[in-house]
Amino acid sequence: MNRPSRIHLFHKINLTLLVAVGVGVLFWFIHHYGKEELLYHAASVKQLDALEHEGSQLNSHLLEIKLSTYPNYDDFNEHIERRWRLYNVLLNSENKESMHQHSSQDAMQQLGNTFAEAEHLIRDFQRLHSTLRNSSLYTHRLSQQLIFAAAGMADREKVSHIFDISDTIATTSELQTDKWLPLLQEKIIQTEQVFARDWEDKHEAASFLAHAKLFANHFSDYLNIQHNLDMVGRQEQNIISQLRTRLDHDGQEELNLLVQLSYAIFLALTLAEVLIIYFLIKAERAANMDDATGIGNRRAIEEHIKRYHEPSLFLINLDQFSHVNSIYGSRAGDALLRQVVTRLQHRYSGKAELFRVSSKSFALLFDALGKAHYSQMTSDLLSLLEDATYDIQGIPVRISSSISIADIPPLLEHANIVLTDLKQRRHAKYAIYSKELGLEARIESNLNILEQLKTAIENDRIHPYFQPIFCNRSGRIEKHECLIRLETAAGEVIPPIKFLPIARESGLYAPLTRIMVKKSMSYFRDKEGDFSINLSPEDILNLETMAHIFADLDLEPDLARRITFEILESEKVEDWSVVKTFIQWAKGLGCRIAIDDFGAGYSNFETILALQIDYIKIDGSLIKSIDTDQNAEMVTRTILEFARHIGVKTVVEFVHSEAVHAKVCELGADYSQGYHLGMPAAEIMTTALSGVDATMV
Amino acid sequence: MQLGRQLFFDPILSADQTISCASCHQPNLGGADGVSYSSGVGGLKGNMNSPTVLNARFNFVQFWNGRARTLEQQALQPITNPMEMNLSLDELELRLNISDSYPLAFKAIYGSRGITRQQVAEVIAEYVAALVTPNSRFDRFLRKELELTPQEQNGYELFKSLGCISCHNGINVGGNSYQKIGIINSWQGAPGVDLYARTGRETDRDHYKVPSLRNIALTAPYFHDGSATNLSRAITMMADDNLGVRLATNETADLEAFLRSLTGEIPVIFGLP
Repeated sequence: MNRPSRIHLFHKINLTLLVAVGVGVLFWFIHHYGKEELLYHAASVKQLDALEHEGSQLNSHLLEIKLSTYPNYDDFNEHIERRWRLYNVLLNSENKESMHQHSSQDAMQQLGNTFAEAEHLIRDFQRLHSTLRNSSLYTHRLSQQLIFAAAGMADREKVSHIFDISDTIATTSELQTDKWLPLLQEKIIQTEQVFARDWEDKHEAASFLAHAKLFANHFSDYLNIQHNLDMVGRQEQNIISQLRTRLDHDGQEELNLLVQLSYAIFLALTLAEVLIIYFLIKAERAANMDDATGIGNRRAIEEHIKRYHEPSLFLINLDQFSHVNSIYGSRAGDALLRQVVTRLQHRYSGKAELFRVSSKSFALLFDALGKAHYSQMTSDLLSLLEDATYDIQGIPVRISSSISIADIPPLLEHANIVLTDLKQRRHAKYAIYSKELGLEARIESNLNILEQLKTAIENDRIHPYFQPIFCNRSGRIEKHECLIRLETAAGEVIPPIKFLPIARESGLYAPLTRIMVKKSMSYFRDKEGDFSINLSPEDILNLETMAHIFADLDLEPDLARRITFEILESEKVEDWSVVKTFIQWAKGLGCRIAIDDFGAGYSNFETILALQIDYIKIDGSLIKSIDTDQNAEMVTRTILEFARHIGVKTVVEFVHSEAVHAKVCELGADYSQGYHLGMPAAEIMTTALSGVDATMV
Repeated sequence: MQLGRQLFFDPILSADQTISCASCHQPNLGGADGVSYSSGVGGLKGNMNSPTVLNARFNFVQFWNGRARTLEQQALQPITNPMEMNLSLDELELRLNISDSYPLAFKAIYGSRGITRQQVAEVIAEYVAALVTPNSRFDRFLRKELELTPQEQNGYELFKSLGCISCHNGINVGGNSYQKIGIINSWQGAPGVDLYARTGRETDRDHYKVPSLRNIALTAPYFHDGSATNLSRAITMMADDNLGVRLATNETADLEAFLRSLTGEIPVIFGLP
């Protein structure tokens, strides 16, 4: 399930990144387009303002030059330069405002034309102004000289002509009008004729007339230029105001676009947020969901329970489900689970919620079911699950299940405790949690024992006890089995059934074995007789434990020859080759090997044959009722016969009564041990029990 | 600016590598060349009197007829003019790019490889713009740092009252408008490359950019054709032809004295690098 969900994650990240990139692009666009464009816009507005201002300065420059005593054209030239500079800046920024380039190009072209025209007019104005200024200056100055001269000659005609011309020029110049120009021209022609009479050679007279002619010929041009400048100026202002209107319009459009863009960004951000929330919810859901079956998982239960007023939890365990997985593969296992889920969902839809709690357990959560219905509901469930045949790749499979029920919080924990307990009580199919079960107390006591175990190991309070094993033929104690005992701090001696299973699960098991081997060996070092020590397959598989045992046995070969290792035949051993190697090695040292608890359930004659063992110890469950149970007797007889056949000695355990003892002797078992014959004790027994039948010897 | 200076004095800019900018704009001749018409490559005579480069930046346009608006636009024209340096701009770029020193010097300024004509124009214009002549006696008089001599003072008064100032005004005492030469008495000499040559407008005949009068004492001969060999002759001609005034000898002398007060300090950088 990992691969697809990872790809999914990849897509999610891609999608989210895509939205992020989208937002980024929008931001960039707003930044680039918006900022740049608005900057250009602002710059354009500024240039237009400045141009408008310069335009309004034109007239004042003209006036200044006309009124000043001595003209200075620098200001005027600078004015022209400034206008061109502003115009070029404006042109540039207009060009950069790519979107509106065409709309204002024509107007800019027109504006450029008016500027060029205005410049021409200004150049002409400068020219004529210099000329006319000098001419009016000279006509005035020369008229005075000439009038004096003419007056001296009492030439009143000349005086009047000179005066008229001078006066007309002065008035025309002052009033800036072309009204009297034709008259002036006429006067000049007349005066020329008058002067020609006797002032032909007079330089001042010629100069006077030359200047008067210049004035008369050019003054209307001078006025026209000013008029045209005025017109051009007006045209220019019109174009500028057109540009401004367009600019305002463009600005408005840009603003609108920006507003739209900001909406887009808002939308994109909202979308991104929605996506994130969506994915968060999905992730949360996925975390609460079981991949294989698509129903809620353990996490989900905790969430859902909160919504129930009166919840009851049915924990359904599929017994031996792990076999399905190991035999058919986990795909088949998943398929089976889905079929189970389908059945449960179909039956309980609307009535209960279904969750998968572990690899092979489900939980059904009911609300306000009522304790009275528990039993009915459980049998319903069991028949629903167990009466059905499941299909695994065409193979019909049936399942077995056990159910625990809890309605006292924490539900799942309580149900689990009950279920664990249920598994140990092999035949019960269901149990209901209640405080009275004392399961917590058991757990508590388990923890307590674990603590005791630890301190016992630390304080050397693990001891071997010895139970005698009698030879049925001689009635004599031939050897002892070394059995582990734990002495509490209070001095109480606890049998292994109370602490060994806990030790097995806690990792304290290996040290216990080592202690037992060491202490048993050291006890028998100066005693008579053989002795047997229990080894589990786990011990044999534990390299450290083996290393210890090897070292101990290597040091004392004589003692080693007296040891029998009792190996528990177990379903857990998958690889008997290690056990086989151990047996070969131990036998090489003179040790003997017994198979313990034979016939307890998983016994396999084939395995025994391959192991070259010396003894078979027949399981107590067969022996304890052998005197009355025909089946037990039959199985025992078979085992004994088999042992005899392959030349292996037999030991029977759990001989708790005379009747049992008599029976096993009759059946031909080689050795016996049991409470009836001898209790385990801290010291070995040296005498035979009186109860041993002498006839058997 | 040092690079512009180097270019200004380097004959590499002319076709036969005989003429530099400085050939016609000599530091010791007031930024002009002392002859009526300059000699170009192969000894070709030009058709206009070489104007000074000094204070050229204050002229409202460049050349006698204003065919360049800026110094940058001006800078390359004498190089390509067949009668002056007669060097194509392609050849110019080639020469500079394969030269020993220029590629590095240009790279130091522009950071890019390959010298372009535009860069040459900018560099020369930058240099020419620095050629200004401050602190003439007249400038200092205007700043009230000194008194003019009585003769200079008289000349100044005449300059104003006669109307010279109508055209020769502003920072450059001229160089800020086009005017007609021979407005009273038509110009008798051969027509030069006047405004008409550029605009084709009949009324632009004999119109030229009014020359600056700064350093005028250094730049004989005078007028666009160099027809006035000395300053007093130029003053007399101007008064006669453009104002219709016959000056008395002392008036001419006074005006000349005033014009000589317009000679400023030649900048140190105006010289061989």
